[in-house]
Amino acid sequence: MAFRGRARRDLTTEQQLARGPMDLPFLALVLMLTAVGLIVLLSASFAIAMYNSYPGVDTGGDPYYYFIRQLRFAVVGIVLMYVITKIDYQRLRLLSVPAIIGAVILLLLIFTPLGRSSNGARRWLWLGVRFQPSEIAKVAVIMFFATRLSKRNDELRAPPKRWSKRTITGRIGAFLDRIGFLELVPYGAIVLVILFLLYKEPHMSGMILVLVGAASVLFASGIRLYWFVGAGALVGGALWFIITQTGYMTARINAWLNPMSDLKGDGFQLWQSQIAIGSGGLLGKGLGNSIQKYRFLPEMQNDFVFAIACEELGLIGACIIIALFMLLIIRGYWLAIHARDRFGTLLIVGINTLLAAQTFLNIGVVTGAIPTTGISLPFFSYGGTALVIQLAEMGIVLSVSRQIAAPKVE
Amino acid sequence: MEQRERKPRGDHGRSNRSLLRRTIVLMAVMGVAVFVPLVVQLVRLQIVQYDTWKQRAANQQTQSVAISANRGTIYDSEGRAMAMSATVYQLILSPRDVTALVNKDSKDFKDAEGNFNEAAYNAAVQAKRTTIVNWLVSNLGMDEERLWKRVEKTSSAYEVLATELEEEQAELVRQFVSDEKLANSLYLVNSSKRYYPFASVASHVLGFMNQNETSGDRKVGAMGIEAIYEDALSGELGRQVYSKNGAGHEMMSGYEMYFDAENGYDLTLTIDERVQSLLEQALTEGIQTYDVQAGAFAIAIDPQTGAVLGMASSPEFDPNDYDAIIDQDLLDQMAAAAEQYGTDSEEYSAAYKAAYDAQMRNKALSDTYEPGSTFKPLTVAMALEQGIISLDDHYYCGGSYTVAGRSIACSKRTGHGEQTLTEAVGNSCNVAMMQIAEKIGASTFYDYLEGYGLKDTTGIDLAGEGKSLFWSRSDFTGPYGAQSLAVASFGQTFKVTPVQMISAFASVINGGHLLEPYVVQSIRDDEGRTVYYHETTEVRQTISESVSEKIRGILEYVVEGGGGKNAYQAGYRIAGKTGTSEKIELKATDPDNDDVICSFMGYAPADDPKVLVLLAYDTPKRSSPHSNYTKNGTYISGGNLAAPMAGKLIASILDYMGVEKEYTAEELPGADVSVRNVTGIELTSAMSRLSGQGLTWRTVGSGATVVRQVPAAGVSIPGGSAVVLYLGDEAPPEQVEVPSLAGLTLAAAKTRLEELGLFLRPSGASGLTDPAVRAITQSIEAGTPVAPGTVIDVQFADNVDDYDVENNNGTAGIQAPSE
Repeated sequence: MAFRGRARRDLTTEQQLARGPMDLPFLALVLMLTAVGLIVLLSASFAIAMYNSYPGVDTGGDPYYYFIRQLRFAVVGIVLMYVITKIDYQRLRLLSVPAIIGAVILLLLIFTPLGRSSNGARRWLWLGVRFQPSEIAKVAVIMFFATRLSKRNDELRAPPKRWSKRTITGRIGAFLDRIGFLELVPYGAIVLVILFLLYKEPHMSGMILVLVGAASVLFASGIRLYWFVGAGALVGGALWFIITQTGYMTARINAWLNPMSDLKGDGFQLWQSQIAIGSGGLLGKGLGNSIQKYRFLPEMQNDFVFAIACEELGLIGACIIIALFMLLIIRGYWLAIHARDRFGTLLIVGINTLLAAQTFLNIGVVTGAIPTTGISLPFFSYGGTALVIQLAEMGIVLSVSRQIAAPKVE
Repeated sequence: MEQRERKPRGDHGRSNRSLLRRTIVLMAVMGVAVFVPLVVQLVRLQIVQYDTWKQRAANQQTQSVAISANRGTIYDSEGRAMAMSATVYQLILSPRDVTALVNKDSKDFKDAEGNFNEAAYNAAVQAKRTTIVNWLVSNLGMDEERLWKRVEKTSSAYEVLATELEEEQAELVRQFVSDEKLANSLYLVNSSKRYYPFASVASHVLGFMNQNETSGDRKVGAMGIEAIYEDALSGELGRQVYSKNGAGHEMMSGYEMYFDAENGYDLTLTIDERVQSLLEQALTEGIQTYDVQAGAFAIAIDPQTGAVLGMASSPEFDPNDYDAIIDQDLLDQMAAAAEQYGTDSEEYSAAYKAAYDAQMRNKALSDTYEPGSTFKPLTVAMALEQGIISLDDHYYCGGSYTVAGRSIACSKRTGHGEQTLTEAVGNSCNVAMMQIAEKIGASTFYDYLEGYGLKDTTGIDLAGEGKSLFWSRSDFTGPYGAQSLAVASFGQTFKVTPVQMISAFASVINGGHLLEPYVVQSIRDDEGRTVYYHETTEVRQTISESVSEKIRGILEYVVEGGGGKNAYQAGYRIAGKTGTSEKIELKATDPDNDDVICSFMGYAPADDPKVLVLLAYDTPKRSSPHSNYTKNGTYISGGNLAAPMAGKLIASILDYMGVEKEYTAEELPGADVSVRNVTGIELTSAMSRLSGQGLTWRTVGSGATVVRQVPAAGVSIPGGSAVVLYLGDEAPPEQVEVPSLAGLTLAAAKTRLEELGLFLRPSGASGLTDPAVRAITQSIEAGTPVAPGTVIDVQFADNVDDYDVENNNGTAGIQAPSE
């Protein structure tokens, strides 16, 4: 970590590095996806806004209701993204501990009168703006993990001599240390606390995304693979238990396997989504020409916006959108590989994997490839704070990209 | 960790390589691999299963509404609408959508914590239902209890609440639906209702509409013309397809397609509603007069074309409400069953079923009967055509004739004695017929049966034509066929349908042309273009024109001086033949059975037949078992029951058709004259004016000048009637009561009426002055007050000796047809 040492001595170098050029391909992809997402949202939400038929939102019959709000947040988000790219991402190391503490506090605040419920789940917080603290928790976990794990090599280098071989606790401690368990304890503790809080909301999709974000950072940082095998088995077992033993998830799985069986509930949504996608065909019905958006497909402006995109733009349009996501994600990993330091790499890996997982899970649900989870599509789904936070995350990636040395690193 | 001992640099490098490797793995997995199944799934949905999903989308995104085609109108020959359709509405309730009217996710049903308040939700749903039920009960008069049952079927989306709402009611419903925003829950579906403006007139010919197994909700023609011309009448349903949104509302800017409905064709019948009504009146009158037990039928055709002018069968029904029993006798039978067993009993159901079957049966088309003596002209025609007899032949009837060792009696047991061929038919002599048939021979006779079309269906364009019953040719011509031939010669022991009989009979009077009878004259599309016109279809020539002419002469004699004389109507030149037929199937099981069908087959004018009528009464009630008389004292035979009714019927049909009356020299004095004005003139010149018209007079009061006259100038009264001339201060009474004339001779009846200043117009029975001829019916009932000068039509009839019940024609035990 020669750069870091030098940076402390010479702040101007640091500042110069931070003023390096942003990665333009990544920036362009982000802006394109934001723009395409806004257009698709406009088309998808047009009908539901006009009919004012979505419970809990009063659009007053204004067909542009959702679009205008989303546009405002997009502008705010892009400005915020640009501001964040100007910040030297190394400062995030300092922010990581307050961020994780803040995230936990925000999650706890949900259970105060500041919390807001919708559809039987308490996921929102009202602090001037309405937002989901889980969005912040996801980034906070990634920042905190990236900060700690970027120093892992230094820690591993220091020889641990604390374990006495004479006592049983000492021997157990030494064993746990050797297999890398002790190293994982703080991470595990943080993840478990956050998962527990999300579970109480309940917020299944939030839990999945926090786990994916955390796991990706741990994975990239070199944690032994058998921990992932073990954790995967554990999560798999837990999922099996939840799916088979709780009515809520069983119904969702059944609705996925056989949408016709539950045409009034989740199955109905999936069925309508597949009708929208399938009837789009290769070329689609043309932008704005969806019929499914006319009160057939529920939540079309939220989780199921992609189905309308498929109906209107066809397989070609859907594949172009998927390709944009893939390019963004691949470019993100490329930036991770070329990041100036391990912290930058891990930060991007976490944010990028989160984006990829969210995209995959949403499109998978909408097309019926995987069971319903309730994850929104980045850049596309309606939700102002989510979009702002998403763009802020992209700002972090771009901030890291500024410090990539022009020809090559390493 | 095992690398702990390694050099920091190498360790660091290895760690960085691991980071690089793992990031690349993540890039491959999260950036590429996970998207592969998504694209695969998209290809599956959008390309492979495209058609399936497109169809599913179309199913829910489009609404297809059937546009009913107007069913064609059925007109009678004069353009009167006999059956017509009008738009009515079905009222459909979707209980499922009524429930969906209340938004379950609404804030109204959440308490402070956002929990679902089921009680409040249920109350809101119940309130909606109450609104609907109350409205329907108070505005459409529906049954509240039944409505509640249906509105609570929440899984159902289609409850038909009413099937035939008229436009005014439909408008009320539309208003209510739009006021309460019930668009999907309560709606109207167009349908049509068939109206029969003349109710039961021609009901068996027209048929009716109902649903059958294959038609579903749609009503289709179930009988008669409605059934057989279903395709022509119904037209093609149209469809309107439009896109709708998820809430089921039509979208303003959407895909829309319209397939025109093709309206059904209009039919014009040969049936004339007026002629049909006359036939039905004749049936009703005869049934009441003679207490007929098993219904009656009548057919009128144009013998020159085969066009059916009317076809009536009693009991009849009302196609507007076809399952209601309307015949009083049938209602009485049902009432008797109800009284004895109660309305829930099987016996009552059986009585209803029997009554329903009876009123639905078109006896004129579907039933078969033994034509009896009405067949005799056909036998004579065969022999004349074969040239084996002539009009000059004489036949001796000794009261019976022995065939193959069996003596078969004639209608007159004492025998008709010596008679010409014409007289033999006039006497309805069975012996002469048996002799003629013997000459013809079984094989030739059978050829003619086939030639007359009696063994085939006639091809009439009505559903449900019956099938005749005959011996096989081999039985008939075989060694045991002689007796069959003998009784067949006078129309017994085989059975034909009335339609077959009338078309065969038409051929012997129209010059030998066997014509296909038909009911539909023309078919027009809804733009008035004729798409079908029935041309007279000749099946074959049965006899020659010259033979036909001879038969016409014989038949005119039958009414003028033979057994058909009760059908005589002055001025109409009616010809025909009576018939009294047994029921072979009843006699087979009960030799004592003496049920008969009394019929008359007649036409007019005799030389140029314009209308041929077959009128028959099935089983007039005997005053006591085996009595030869009805309760009103009429001798039971075709000549006494059917002939007078038929004569009057034919006369009224000719009047309606506008056929000029033709009086013979003997008839002329009795023909109607229009009374001239004699009021205010001297008595003597009044007298000469009246006598100049062939009228007589009588005076009331004294004076030289006629002050008043009855009847007034211009009234038509029969020639020879006495005009009442009032002289001085005498004035006619305001009103007089019509006396009862039943059983009086012509002279007595005339005197009785003229005393009161009323006039008599006699009809029926040639040779009216014969003291045996008595009045049987009068046009104005006894006891009715009328103005002086009123003319009363009186039907006279003679007791004709044309059938001997005690002898039963002696056909019992004759080999019955096996075919």
